[in-house]
Amino acid sequence: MREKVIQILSELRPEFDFNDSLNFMEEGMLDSFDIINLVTALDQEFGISIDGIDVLPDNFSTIDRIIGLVEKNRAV
Amino acid sequence: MSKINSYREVLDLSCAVRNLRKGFITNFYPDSFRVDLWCKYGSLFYYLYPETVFFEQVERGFRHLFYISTSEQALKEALIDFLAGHETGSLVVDVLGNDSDLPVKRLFEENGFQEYSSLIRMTRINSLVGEEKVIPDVVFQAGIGDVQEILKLYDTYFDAYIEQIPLREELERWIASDHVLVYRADGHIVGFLIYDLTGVTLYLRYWFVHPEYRDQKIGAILFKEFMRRGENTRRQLFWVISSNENAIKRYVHYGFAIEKMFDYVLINTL
Repeated sequence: MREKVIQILSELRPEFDFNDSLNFMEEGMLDSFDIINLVTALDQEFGISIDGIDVLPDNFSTIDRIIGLVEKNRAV
Repeated sequence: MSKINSYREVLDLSCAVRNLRKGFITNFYPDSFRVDLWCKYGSLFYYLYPETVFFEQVERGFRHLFYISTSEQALKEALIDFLAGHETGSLVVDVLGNDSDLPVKRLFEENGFQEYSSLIRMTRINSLVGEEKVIPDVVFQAGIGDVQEILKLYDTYFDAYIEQIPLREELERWIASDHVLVYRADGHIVGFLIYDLTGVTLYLRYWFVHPEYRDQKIGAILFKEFMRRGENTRRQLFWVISSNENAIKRYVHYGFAIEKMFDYVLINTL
């Protein structure tokens, strides 16, 4: 899943190396527009519908957090 | 119509639409600081429809419309109801997307909206190290005492339909962050540039030169200082009016490229 998440992020913002960041939001790699697009891409890729209450910037700040979000919503 | 009282309410309404699990389309990417200000001034309202929420933000002389919906069809049905019951006045909506031909834009156009303007996003990807240094005594950091003068320039020279004129508190916050550059001449501010700097991203918010002082390279000086300040960033970006071909050529000269990102400003005068 990690590779797939990195691939989605890289397609969204190809200019950044998402392996080399501690916090995508604080480092300005993703903005609110990107997050909406990222949620849509994650929904489609993993066949889920991320809960609205989870669509908060903090939940998209690292690869591990994004993976946690996908896993949580897969379990629903 | 109900008044929004907190950013939390916006999130809850967004959440309610999303949790219908029928899709999600929006033009509302709320910044909590700005939404809190709208709430403070009582200028943000919402209208609830099946599968759609409209947010209406009352500006000076017009209203800005935002939507969150499950689909284009749901948005269309809600929009027809919304417009039928709406009081008169100008409504402005921004439709954003990665394509120049957006179905949501057509949907609004079919319901009385007309294209007023359009913007494109331009980006530069690289390090700015080595940018030319500016002469230090012509570009100054704005101080809190400059707020009124800058706001007056906004009122006089900016198009509120397109430019999202900042509130006083937003301007004060940028000044407190040292992100407002001003150029003075004849005892007045004749140019300013406002930016955000978040990690590796440098975002140009506003760049202005007074009409009587154009063609004196004031804009270029401000811009070079802006780029110098972001010399450790990886990405620099901004929105520009797509019909402003001269400006776009100038940005291309600085190494910026047009992104596949569009913002159509549509207006409906009811």
